[in-house]
Amino acid sequence: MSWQELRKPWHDTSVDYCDVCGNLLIHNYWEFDSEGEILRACRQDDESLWARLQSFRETYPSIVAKSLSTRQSTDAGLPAIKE
Amino acid sequence: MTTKMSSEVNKVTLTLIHRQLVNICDEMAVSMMRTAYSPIFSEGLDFSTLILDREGYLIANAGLNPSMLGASLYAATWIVREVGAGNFAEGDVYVHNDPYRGGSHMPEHMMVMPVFEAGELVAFIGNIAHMAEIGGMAPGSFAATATDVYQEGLRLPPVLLYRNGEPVQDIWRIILSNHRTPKDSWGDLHAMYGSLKIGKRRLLQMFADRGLDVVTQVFSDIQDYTERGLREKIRALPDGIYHGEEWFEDDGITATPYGVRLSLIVDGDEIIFDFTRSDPQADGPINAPYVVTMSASLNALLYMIGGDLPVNAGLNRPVRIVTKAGTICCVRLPGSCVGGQTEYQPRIMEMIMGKVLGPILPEMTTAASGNTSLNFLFGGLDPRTGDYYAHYHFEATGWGGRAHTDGNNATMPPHANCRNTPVEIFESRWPWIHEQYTLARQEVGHGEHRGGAGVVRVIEVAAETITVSALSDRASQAPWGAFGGGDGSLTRIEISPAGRTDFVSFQEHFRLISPTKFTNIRLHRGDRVRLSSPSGGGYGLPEKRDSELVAIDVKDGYITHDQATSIYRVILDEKGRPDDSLTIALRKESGR
Repeated sequence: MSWQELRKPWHDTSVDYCDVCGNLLIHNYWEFDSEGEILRACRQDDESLWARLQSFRETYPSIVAKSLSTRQSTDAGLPAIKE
Repeated sequence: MTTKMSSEVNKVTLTLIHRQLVNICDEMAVSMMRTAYSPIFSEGLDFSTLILDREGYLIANAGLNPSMLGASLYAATWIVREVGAGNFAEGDVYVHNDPYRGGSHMPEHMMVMPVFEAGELVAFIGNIAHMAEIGGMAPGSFAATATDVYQEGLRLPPVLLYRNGEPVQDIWRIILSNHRTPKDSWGDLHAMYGSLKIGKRRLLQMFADRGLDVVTQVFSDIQDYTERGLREKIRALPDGIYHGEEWFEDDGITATPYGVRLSLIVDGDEIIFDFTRSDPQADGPINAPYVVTMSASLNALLYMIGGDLPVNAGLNRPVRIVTKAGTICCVRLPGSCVGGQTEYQPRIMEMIMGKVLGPILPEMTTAASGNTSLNFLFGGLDPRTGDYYAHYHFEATGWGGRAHTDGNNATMPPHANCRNTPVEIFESRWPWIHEQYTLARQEVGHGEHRGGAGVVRVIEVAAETITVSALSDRASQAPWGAFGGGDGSLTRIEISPAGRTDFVSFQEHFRLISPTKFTNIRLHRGDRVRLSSPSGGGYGLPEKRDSELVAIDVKDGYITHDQATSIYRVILDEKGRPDDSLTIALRKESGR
C-alpha cells in the first residue's frame, strides 16, 4: 500500500495498465495487496474502489451466450412491439 | 442549481470568465475551419479546441466533437506528466496521436502549447483533430483489416513539433514522409498550430484584463462547479446496478461477433461504469482504448442527465470508468483500434442511453440511431493533377425517435457531431461523380415518434482506378425501436461494376469475410458504389402517432397509403387527409 515509481529507460515503449480500471500507468502507481495478489493502480483510491467492486460483482447476473438476431427491439431491454 | 462558491470568485465572475474561455475555444475552431486544407477539417469539423490548466486538466472546449471528450480530459495530462511540467518552454508545441498514451485513435492528432505568465507555466492551449491521411496499410488510414496498431499509420508519442516557435524540421520530415498526402498534412498541421497561437494570444489578453489570479482561480472553481452539479444529478437517480449488452457483428478479420457488457452502478452521488466482463479484444480494429470507453460513458451520461453543465475535468470526479486491459473496451498494445472511436463509441453510448439508463429515464432516452460512421476511405492518383489524393469519408445516418419528437434525418452519430461533405466539394476534390444522394425515407423505424432517415449515396469512379476501404457495422443488426417502436434499417455497401445496372454487396462480389469491413479494394472507371446508411428506430407504438403526422409522412414518402392503415391504423381519405372517426374506430378495434 504505497506509491511506487514506474522506472523505464527512455527507449522502452511498452505500456502498463491499471489492474483496477485498465487506464494507463504513468511514471508511478499505487501498489496494494488484495488477498495475496499484488495489484498496481493508477489512483490511490482505487484500493477502496476494488473492494467496493468485489461486493457489487457478486450480484451481477451470469453471462448468456448470444446469437445475433436481426430483430433488435426485443433485445434492447426495452418493451418491444406487440405482435 | 444552488451553488456555494469555494473561493473568492463569485458566480457572476465565474460564469463570465468561463464563457470567455469557451469563446476563445470557439474562435480557435473557426480559425482551424477556415485555414485547413482537408475537407474533414473545413467541412466535417472533425476536431476539438481546448484550454487546459497547468497540469493538463480540461478547463474549457469548443464542444464540436464529443467523441474526443475522453482524450480531451486525459491525453494532455499524459503529455504533461511524460514531458515533465518543468521541461516546457516558451514557444514549444508538442504533437501526439498515440492511442497507447491517452489518444482515441491514431488519425486524431493532439497539439499542446504551454502558456507562460511572468515566466511561470500557467496553462496549456490544445486541440485535437482528425488528420485525413497518416499512412499505414490503407489510403485514408482506416484499415478495417489491420491486426495491429503498426498497420494503422504513423504513431507519434508526445514529440516537439515546434521549439522556441521554430519548426523541428526532423519531426516534420518524418511525419510528411509517412503520409500519403503531405501537402494536406502540412496545411492541416499549420491550421492546428495557428489556432493554438490565437488561443494563446486571447488567453494572455484575458490574464491582462482580468488578472492571472482570478482566471486561474476560475480554472479550479469551474471544475468544482461541474463536479458538484454532476453529483447532484447522480444523486437524483435511484441507487442500483443496471446492466446492458451490445454486440458488434464482426471485426473484419473473422465473422465472430464481439460483445460489450456493462454493469452501471449508481451509488449515492457516484457512478461506476464496470465494463470488465466484456469480450477479449478483437484481432481487427474495432477495439477501444480506455479513453474511448471513457468518452462513450461520459457522453451518454451528459446526454441523459448533464443538462448545461460546463464540460471540464470535474466530470471525472464522481464517475469511474472500469475496464480490463486486453478486452474490446481497453485494448492492449499492439492491438489495432482505429474503429473504436467511430463504431464502438456511438454504439456504447446508445447502449447506455437506451438499454441501461432508458428504463429509469424513459423521457430522456431514444430509440437506436444508425450509429455507424460508415467510414468509406479512398485514394489514388488523380488523373486531373497527377497528385496522390486520399480521403476519409463518413456518412450521415438516421437518428432514433425520442419521447417528444421524430429522429433527425441524415445526421452524424450523436457522439461525433460532424457535418457532411457537400457533393460539390466531393466532386471538385476527388475523381467521383455523384449519381444519387437522397434520404432513405422508406426505411425509417415506425413509431409514435418515428426514426430519422439514413441516406443513400451512389457514386461513380471517374479515374482509371481508385482504392477503397470501409469500416462500418450494422449489416445484420438494425437500430432497435423503443417502447413499441419498430427497428430501423441496415448498413449496405454495394457495387455495380462498370457496364452493369444491378448492385450487389461488396461482400458477395469480392468474396469478403465482412459485409462492412474491408481494405484496399481496387475499383475501376465506371464502377459505381452505393452506400446506404441505417435509418433510426421508432419510439412508442405507431398506433399512437398523430394522424396528421401520418398523413404528412405519406405525402413526404416515408410510408405508403396502405402502411398508414396497416401499421399506423390511420384511415386517409381520397385527398390524403386523415378521417378522424374511421381512424378512431380502427384504433379502438385494434385494442390500443
